[in-house]
Amino acid sequence: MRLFFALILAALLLPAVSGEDHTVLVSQSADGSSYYFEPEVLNIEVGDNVTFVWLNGSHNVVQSSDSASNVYLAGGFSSGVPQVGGNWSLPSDYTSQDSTLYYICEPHATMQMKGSIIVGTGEVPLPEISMEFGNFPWLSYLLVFPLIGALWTFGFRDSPHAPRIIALFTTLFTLIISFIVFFKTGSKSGYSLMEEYVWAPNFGISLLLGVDGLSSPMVLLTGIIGPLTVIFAWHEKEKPALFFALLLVMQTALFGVFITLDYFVFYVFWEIVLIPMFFLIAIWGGENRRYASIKFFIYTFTASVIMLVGFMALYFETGAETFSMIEIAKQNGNFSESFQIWVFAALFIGFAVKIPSVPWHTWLPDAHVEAPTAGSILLAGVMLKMGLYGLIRAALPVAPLGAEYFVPVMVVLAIVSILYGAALSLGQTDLKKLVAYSSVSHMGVALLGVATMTELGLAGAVFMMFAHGILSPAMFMVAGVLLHQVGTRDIPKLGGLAKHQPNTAGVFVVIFMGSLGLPGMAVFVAELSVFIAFFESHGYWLILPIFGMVLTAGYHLWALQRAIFGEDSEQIDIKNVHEAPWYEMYPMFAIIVLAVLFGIFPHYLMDPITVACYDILNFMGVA
Amino acid sequence: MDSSSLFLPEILLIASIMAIPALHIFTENRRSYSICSNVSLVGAFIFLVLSWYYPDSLSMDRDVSTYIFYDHFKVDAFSQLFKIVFVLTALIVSLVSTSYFDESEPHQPEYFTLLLSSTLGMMVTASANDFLTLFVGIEISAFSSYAMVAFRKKDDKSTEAGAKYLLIGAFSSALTLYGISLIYAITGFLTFDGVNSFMDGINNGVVDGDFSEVIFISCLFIMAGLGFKIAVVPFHAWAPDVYEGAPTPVTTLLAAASKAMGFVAVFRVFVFALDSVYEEWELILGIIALASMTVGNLAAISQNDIGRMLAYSSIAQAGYIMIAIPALTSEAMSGAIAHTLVHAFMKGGAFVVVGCVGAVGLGYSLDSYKGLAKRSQLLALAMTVCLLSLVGIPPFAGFISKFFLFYGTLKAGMAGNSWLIILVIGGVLNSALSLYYYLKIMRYMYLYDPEGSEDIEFPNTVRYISLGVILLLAVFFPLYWESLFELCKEASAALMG
Repeated sequence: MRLFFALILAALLLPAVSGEDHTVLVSQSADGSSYYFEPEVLNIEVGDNVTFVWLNGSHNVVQSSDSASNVYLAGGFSSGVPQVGGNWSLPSDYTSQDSTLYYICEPHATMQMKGSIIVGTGEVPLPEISMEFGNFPWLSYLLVFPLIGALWTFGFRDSPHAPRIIALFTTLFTLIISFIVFFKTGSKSGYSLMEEYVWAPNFGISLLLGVDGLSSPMVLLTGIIGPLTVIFAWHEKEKPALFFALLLVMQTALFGVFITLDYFVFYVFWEIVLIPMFFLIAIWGGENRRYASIKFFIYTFTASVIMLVGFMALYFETGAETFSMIEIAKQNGNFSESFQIWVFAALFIGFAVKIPSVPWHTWLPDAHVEAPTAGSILLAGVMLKMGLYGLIRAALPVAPLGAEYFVPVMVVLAIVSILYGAALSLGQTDLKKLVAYSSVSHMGVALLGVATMTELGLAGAVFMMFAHGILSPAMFMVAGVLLHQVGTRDIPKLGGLAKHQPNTAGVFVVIFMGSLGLPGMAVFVAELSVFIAFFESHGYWLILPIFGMVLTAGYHLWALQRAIFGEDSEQIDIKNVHEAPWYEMYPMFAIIVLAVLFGIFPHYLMDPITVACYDILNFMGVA
Repeated sequence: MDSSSLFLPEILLIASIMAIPALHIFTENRRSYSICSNVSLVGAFIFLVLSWYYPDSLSMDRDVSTYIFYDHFKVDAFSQLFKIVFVLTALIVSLVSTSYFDESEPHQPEYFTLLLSSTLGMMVTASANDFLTLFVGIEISAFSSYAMVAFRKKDDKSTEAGAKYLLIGAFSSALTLYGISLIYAITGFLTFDGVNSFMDGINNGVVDGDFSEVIFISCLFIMAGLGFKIAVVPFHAWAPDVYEGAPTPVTTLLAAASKAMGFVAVFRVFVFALDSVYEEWELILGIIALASMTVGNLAAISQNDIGRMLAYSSIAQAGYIMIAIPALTSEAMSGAIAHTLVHAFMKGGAFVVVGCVGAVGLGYSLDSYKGLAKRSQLLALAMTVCLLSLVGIPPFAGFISKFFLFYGTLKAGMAGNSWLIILVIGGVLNSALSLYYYLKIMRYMYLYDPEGSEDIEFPNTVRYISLGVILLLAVFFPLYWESLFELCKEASAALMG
């Protein structure tokens, strides 16, 4: 958008030069065997005018991202629906600077009805990515403080209270830092607060830290979830020191994933996340924790080693001896299409398991159901975001052609995830399992946003990551409160809770409404943006994800009706049900406040995200 | 100093080998034997480290090999690096042995003598510059370890393992020797340099004649013989039985040092002497590598004895290391050397814990690991670090070395030899597969309650060694992996000439 205004401004400031006029014939052979633009490649000067002149047949002219692409580039030039007869002139701002425009005739793109206009010297100049090095190591603090806190809690492992106080103090401190990071990043284009610590110069590996509008919401999310987890697990009795230490190590690793800009270090943090999570599930989990923890570990590890091969292939292909994401993304023009397809496939497998997208989602319900509530909160709130974050940060910019190739796959997987996740949620009786499947469905929406490959779709996806990142922990908190207060989270056994704990039930209702996408709360904004973007790129296929939303509303309301309202249940000791204690209420309340805040004022989050998504698309050569 | 002073570490060991039986005449005190062996090993270690950092004072040049004993003995960065590993492993084994064998165990002086002579054999192998020295080195080491495996002669499993090891070992030596004789027959050389230049000559057309079949067959024999030493499929069948049956400190030596020695021999023979006829052997090695890691990992999953499980894991790890050899680039070789080194430490560390758990009477089945974390946090942590390192999970040392290994091989693969990419992908998928059984041990240690008493006194030596292993694998290597890589690069440069 800003580029657009800049162009208009530039056009106004430049002295009006009347350029030369060119025409391109839009034509087909009489027997319909070949379709072509004449001339296929047109060389013009900056400021010239181009008119497309219809000759015969039914055609249109729309811009595509490159010579190989067969799809309309969202936001690019379009003459509208195919028509018979008429002339279309290219708006002057498309020819106002050196660039190459690729265009196709939509109905006949597969018959090679394509052409290009080379303006001036051609080739769009690579976007300058601003890299701003900070003068204060805020980002290292994010990595170091939770780690210090972890060691500190371990130092007090014999005390019953010290670990949780230290953990709370540490997470509150990192929350403050993540707020600072979020506001310092603002909605600037490019990376800010960068830091670089050389680790292995021979391989070009360094701890390259930096945030942009894509990572700063994730940093904020990790910061917010931290203290909430600690407060919610306030009365953990079994090995509290180890528990809180693992939570803090986990936080460091998650911050690491979100702020590093080096493929190798990214991978290292990505894997470190698994270790504390494995122990959190395995030691503090439910009945079937041994199975769930191992399944979780093996599933995600298998996927990520394939991803590592993709990273190494990228490294060798650039030949620049660097693992820096920025440097490698700058070279994406040199990667052949088949290479990009292979690399994107390898990376996509790694990320899709983490998202998780159907059919790789089966570890999630197991892990969620068995994990302790605090573990589920981190898992659903932050860890699930790693997959999509990685897809947008690490896969899209380096393999734009590969991504484009996989758009149909991503769309299908996303829609199947939405529908299948929602349908399975309808059938669940365990509230935690219901939330787990609803996560599959919600992340499907976000994947759909990425698959549109438009600014709005990507931004909607990132917004969804944030919104789901605060609301699904709230849903798990509901399940945790029920287990704690009522003794079960089995929906058919519950009933009539609203009469006995009216305030708590009220909070539950608001959280459920937020999660199902009530306008005015954060999830709605995300869903709306993704669906608009999807409609623009894929048209009436939108009916499928929309149907998923109907199911979503269905299972949320049905679960609410059965569990909270209705007759008093016979199967639980309803007389002893009280309001939830403060340490369970406050976190839920805080989340509701945030969800409403970002639901009513989405621009606080949407502005930085949009700028970052624009940058990413710019890297891909789509914008 | 004269350059033959470079033989000083070996002389120290030989002195000790002779001194310990002599000591036995004067004293029955078993501490004296272990002190004697430890002193000589520490002395050798210090000397080797000094020779690495101050080569000038020893009239040695790290970049150029120094030859002694009429060119039969070669001292270079590669040999010194591996000698350091051998001596360090032997030192750990020697320290652990004192707590593993109690006062009543007979034949302790013989044990320490054999330990030192086995180490001596490994050091000779590392410095061998011709096939004969190589063979003699391997045999010195092997014969000592046959006796060590069967050390508990009243124990059926130990003697069975010893007999099996001896028979298969003798058979494999015969195969190696036959392969060497074929090489000698066509080239007329026994030194690696001579064989190397002859093979170069075949490639350049300086030497007439078509030797490809003979070379193929001799490569096959040598690989089969050395394959027994490094325990790769299909020459691996002895390893699980021997690892299970031998006293655990001996298993530590076999898994950590003896395996590394096998690789030293394989590197010297294939990467240096026979490198120019790589077309004859690259496919055999590639297939062996792929088969080893797959069979090793699949077989490990169903094991109930920890020794057998780790034996199969060793077979798989040998497969990973093998993939770098057909790549024949200096980067891939650095990776292979790094992984061989790190493997010695992580496998050695794991076996130290196994030996300790066995020695306090808990047994060797997986069940005996139930609740180990409740009995000793430190031992459980050391085991966890070793296991995660064996899988190759960052940030532990095993990840770093495996990364070097796959990095180098993938680079060679992308540069042209595209079939190497299949090996790398096979290795990567196998790493994921192996996670299952390693996690099984971790699960037993942390998630179950111990059967029987929680208060068990673990020997202090083992606790210090575990702490050292944790620091090495989880802190030192990950932080200073650039220096590790530099060492390995230098060694691979020395190896490849």
